[in-house]
Amino acid sequence: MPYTSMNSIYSKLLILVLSLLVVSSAATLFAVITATNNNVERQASTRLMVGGSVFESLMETRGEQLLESASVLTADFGFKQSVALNDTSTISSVLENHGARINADIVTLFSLEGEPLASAADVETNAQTQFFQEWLSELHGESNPQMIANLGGRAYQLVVVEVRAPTPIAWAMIGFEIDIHFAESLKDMTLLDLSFANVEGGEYKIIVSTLPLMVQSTLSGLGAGKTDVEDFAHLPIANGDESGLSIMLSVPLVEERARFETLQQQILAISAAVLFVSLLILIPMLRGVTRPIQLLVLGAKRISGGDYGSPIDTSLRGGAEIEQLAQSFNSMQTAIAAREAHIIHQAHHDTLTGLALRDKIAMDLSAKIQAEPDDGQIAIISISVQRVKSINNSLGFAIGDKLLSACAERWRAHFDVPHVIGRSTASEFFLLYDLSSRESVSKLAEHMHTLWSEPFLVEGFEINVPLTLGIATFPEHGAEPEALLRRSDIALNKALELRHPTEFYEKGEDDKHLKQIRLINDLKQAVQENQLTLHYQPKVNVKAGAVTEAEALVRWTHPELGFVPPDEFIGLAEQSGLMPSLSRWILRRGIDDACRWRAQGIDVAIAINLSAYDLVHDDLPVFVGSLLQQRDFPCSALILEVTESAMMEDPETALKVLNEFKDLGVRLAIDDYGTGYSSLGQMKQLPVDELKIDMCFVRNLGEELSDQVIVKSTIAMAHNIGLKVVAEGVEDEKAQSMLEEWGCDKLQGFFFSRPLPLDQFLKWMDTFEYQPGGSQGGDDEAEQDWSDDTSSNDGADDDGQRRAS
Amino acid sequence: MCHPLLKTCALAFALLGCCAVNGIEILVTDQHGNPVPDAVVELAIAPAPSQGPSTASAIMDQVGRQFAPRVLAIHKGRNVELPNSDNVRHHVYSFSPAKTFELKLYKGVAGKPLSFDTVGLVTLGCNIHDRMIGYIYVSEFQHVAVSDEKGRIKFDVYSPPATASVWHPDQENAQNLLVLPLIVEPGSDATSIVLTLREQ
Repeated sequence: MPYTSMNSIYSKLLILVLSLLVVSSAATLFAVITATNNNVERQASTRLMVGGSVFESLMETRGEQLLESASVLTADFGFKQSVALNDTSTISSVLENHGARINADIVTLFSLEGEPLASAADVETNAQTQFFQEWLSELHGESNPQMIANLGGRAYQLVVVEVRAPTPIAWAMIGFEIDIHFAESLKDMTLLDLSFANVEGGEYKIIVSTLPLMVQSTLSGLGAGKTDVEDFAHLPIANGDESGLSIMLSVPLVEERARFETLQQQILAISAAVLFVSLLILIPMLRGVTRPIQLLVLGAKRISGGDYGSPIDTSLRGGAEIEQLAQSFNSMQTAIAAREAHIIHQAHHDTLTGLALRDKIAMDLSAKIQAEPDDGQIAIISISVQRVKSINNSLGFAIGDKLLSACAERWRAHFDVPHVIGRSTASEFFLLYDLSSRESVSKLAEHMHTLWSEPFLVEGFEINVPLTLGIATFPEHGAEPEALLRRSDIALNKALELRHPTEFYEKGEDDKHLKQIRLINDLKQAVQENQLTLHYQPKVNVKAGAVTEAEALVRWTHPELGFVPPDEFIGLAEQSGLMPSLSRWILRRGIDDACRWRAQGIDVAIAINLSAYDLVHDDLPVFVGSLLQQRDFPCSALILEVTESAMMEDPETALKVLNEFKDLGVRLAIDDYGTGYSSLGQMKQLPVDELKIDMCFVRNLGEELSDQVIVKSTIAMAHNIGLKVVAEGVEDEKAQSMLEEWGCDKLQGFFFSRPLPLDQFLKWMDTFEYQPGGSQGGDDEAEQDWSDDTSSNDGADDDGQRRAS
Repeated sequence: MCHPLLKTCALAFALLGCCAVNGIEILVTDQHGNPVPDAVVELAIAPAPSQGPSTASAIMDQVGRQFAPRVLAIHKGRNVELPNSDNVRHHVYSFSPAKTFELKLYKGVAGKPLSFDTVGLVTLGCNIHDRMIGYIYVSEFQHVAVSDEKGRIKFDVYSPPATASVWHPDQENAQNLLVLPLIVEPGSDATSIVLTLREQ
């Protein structure tokens, strides 16, 4: 259940709403509680203040009463007389009388010095005296104050008045006890509790209090100044610190609180109920929101998985927005499906012609193969429309494109379903044709050519575009669509090469093709891993009567396929762009070997073959230059041989490069002379040093008269234009003597030696002795087979310098 | 040759002159130098033979609800009349040991004169009017008087004695007579007494 995780909307919303509710309830409750508590406190405070005022005014009233009584007493003549005359008994009775009038608890007469003279009642006389004397000394008889005093553990409200006759002769002190009745009468008036307490050394001793006993004891325990007792608010009126007396009003809070408790409980109950109900409502409601979202999520997953077929149910409850969302999803789904189909179609079909592309062709072929009955055949025809490039160049691409579209149309018109037409490259097409048992493929091919003999009319131009066809058939040429297409393509290439209108695939060509591909791959490794070797074939210098040069020929022994003929792999190297690395390898190795034999004192130059590619595309002069420098190799000991046809491929560039080689100081030779297409004019310009007559002219020199003529005149011509001549392919003594006679400078061929690996070559060098032609008898050719080649290639052992066209 | 009558007349004149010499005037001041009225000054000098005790009554009147004078000094044995010049009744009393009495004085009606035979201070009060306070000082000696509003007292003596007894209601210790030195200004007849009064 993914929706209990904290991250889901459901949980979030639920928690959010609940939190809000809880918070608002709590806030409300808190506010109410605070407000009511404040209210209670304020009420209590107000009551206390009011009570305080009442208390004070009550005390004042009593004080005034006392004062009045005292004044009356002290003004009485008879009293004055008795005091002045020291009539103690009279004094006492007067005091008693006056005290009784107002119910005073204390009526005492003091001398001016503070000694008690008479008293109405024996109430803590000592305490009275002490108090009075303190008062006298501190306040110096400040007239008629009201005081509250603690006398012997009881509280009294007192006044003191002078007795004047007419000057002061005594003091009269009158007072009420503040007893529980007073406190209770105050409580009746104000509904406040009154407490009088004595503070002694921090201890709070209650004298009289209307508070419940428990509270009294709590208060006593707390000490002076502390007024925080639960359920009561207190207002201290007199601070106990100074006079030792503390007066306190208290109001019970219980009732106040009780009033609000109900309210608070109600709010609490309501909040809880609301919370609970909200929960009951929220959970299904939120689920109602998140459920559709769940479904939408599932729908989205389906769509992303490529399933466009199942629309989302738009009747989901969850609100108009959810419905809209569901509808949008569905239209999106449809749109995606349509777009995907469109894209797939575009991926599979050509935009210009609307024909299927190669991938689709492969798929269609696969389907056809599946569907084909046991005896059925399918012709896979690769079609190349000729001359498209030149039409593009001469008439423009617009017309070229229109032409191709017209071609496609013509095919479609004639080769409709179930046959499949496709386009593979700019001017190449495919036709997959279901052959019925009656039809033959060649007839089909003929039919196609006939169809195309009719020209196309494009924008007023009559254009003729012949076809070249390559055909492979199922099941004859294979059962895999990819293989069949490839083989058809091979057939087409063959047709194009041979310039035939139609070619059929022959078994093995694919293999050859694949083999070639494999060889190309392996060649790359071969170069890197030194599977290649150089063999050396000596050139005999006639005049010197010794070998002065050796031609380096590259040999490749494939680990599995064995010996690979040079004409095969060199062609492949050129095709696959491996030529530069191959050439460099040959140059390096050749010069290394030559350095070696020169170090041994064998003064033989090395001749290395360059290809057309090397000449035209590579920057070999620089490389050769630095190589010579690095190896400290004399430039004159290096000969570069280039075939005549290679030079003619791009005469301008060739000339330039040859000049660069010339500048390096190396010697240059034209190889395979006579087989290329050079003109004498071009020849004249080349900065070469020698000419090598192709072996086809030399091999049968003894028998072929025409060859003799050619060779003889070639030697003469070359000499005339300052070139040395080398004859390749000397195979017998006869040839040797003829060539010597005609002045050929150097001789090369099997007669002397076939190409040998380095060590064998050196061995051969050791034992070679030049014998001029004619000095030997007969046609005995002693084919000195010094070769250790394991393979027995007769025909193509010469350096494969045939270049692919 | 001196005529014997002439001699007698001369002696008489001399005596008279002595007697008729103005006496001394004492100025009473307080500690701040202000003149003190209503100060009783008593000189402890035996009276001259010719000077007999006065027999006339002194008067302690009640005027404007006050005793007039505030302070009266008499030689013991004299009478004091209390006439009541006010238009209200007064109930004059005194609890002083020197003379304890009470006298109801109706308006305009003079009470009978009282004799003061005991030496001492008599404080008078009025029962009806609490603020009425008067003093009668009964002296041992004949030479006793009260300073006037300018603090001056004249005494019919030839020369001032060294000390005098002084009393004023506002003095610090109002119960007792104070014996204070008479200060004579050198080079003049000015005599003064400095009396310390209660600070108001």
